[in-house]
Amino acid sequence: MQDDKVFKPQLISNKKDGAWLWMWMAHYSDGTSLPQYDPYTLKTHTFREVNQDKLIKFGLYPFPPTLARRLVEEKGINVRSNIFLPRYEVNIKEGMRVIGALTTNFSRTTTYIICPSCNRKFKSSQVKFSNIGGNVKTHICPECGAQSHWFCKKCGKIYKHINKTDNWKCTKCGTRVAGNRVQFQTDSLEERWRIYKLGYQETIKGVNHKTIMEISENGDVEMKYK
Amino acid sequence: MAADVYVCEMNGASWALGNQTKLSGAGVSVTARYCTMDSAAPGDANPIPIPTEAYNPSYWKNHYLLFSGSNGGSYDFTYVSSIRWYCDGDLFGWNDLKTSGMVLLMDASGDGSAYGVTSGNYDQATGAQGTSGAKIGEHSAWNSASSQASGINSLGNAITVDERKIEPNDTAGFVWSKHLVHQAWVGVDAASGNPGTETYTWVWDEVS
Repeated sequence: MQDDKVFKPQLISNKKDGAWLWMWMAHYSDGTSLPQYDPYTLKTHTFREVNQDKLIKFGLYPFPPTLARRLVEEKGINVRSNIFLPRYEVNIKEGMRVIGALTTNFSRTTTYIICPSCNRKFKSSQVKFSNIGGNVKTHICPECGAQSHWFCKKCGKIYKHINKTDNWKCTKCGTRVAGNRVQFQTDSLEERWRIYKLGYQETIKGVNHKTIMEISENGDVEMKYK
Repeated sequence: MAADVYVCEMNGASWALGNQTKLSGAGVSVTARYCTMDSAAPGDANPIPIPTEAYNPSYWKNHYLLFSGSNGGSYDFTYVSSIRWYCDGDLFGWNDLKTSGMVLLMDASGDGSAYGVTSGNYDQATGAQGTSGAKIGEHSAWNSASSQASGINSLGNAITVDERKIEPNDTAGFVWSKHLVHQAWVGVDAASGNPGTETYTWVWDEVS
């Protein structure tokens, strides 16, 4: 029971909703650029439209607040503006080919349990599932302690567990105990997020070399060389 | 915008849009359950009974990714590729198969290299409703040497569903990944009412 006191259940949150945090933009040698989203018309451009011949720089940029709001409200696109995120750029020199507009996407679904008493959600592994006697098993809420239990119909004494040796009788008044089942609900929760990838590749002496930044949604960068 | 991606389940006699249920994606949240009926979201109906010996399989599930994202009649993503699926590596107590359960996956390649099944090879989940599902490995359409079901030794590893590039298809308005056929097996000592802690993850690369 000591463990119960120090156990801090981790509540499920749904912050990973799959919102796009960066948009890409291609910069050309003639001073023009091609953004993934046109800030005026909101037209979407795809990577296949990028003119590789005059590309000099390719970058990932956090959504400007106004553009983000318009994309959400007018186009229903799930983007989020976070001005504290950095921008990432790759200068493209002769012989280099950009690796851009590439993401690795994750959709993770986890089962969880809802306590009918406090209505909080927990991962199944955080909720004890134990026998309370009479081959009856119950979940036990780590937050409020709700669980199926036995109780005395006469004096109301509650038993969280009862032994065979008690012969199903209240140890206080001797009346036969009854069961009260607390029905926990189960459900699932999906989280979505992505890793943004930006870099370049070039062929040196017949061998292709790739240098890629892998950018997580908090802005951390891991450099990969292949 | 980039692709709209939905996790879907196919049910019914044939592979058709009308038989498709979107489980998750933009504005969608449906809880799929292993059960003993051909239904994407059966609720508490037809659970998998705990057997008195060996295992009791669920009806199998056909899950896949649906990619759409039309913008004024044209697609606004370039392609998706490298579709993988994995779970948390402890599926229904994988290390304790005799007392809990496991999941079997359809192995389309027969050599463990790819588990995706094409929509043309879709087959409806069958069994005795409310009692037990048919075993994937004994299904006549899939038990040939080149297309067999197998247990997964390490479900912590990613399972390749489809490695080919999926290009936007302007005529259909959407593209599918291959589908993953899987079923849960419940063991004799499974605990009634305990769903276990399971995590299923789809991963895909996209060029937007």
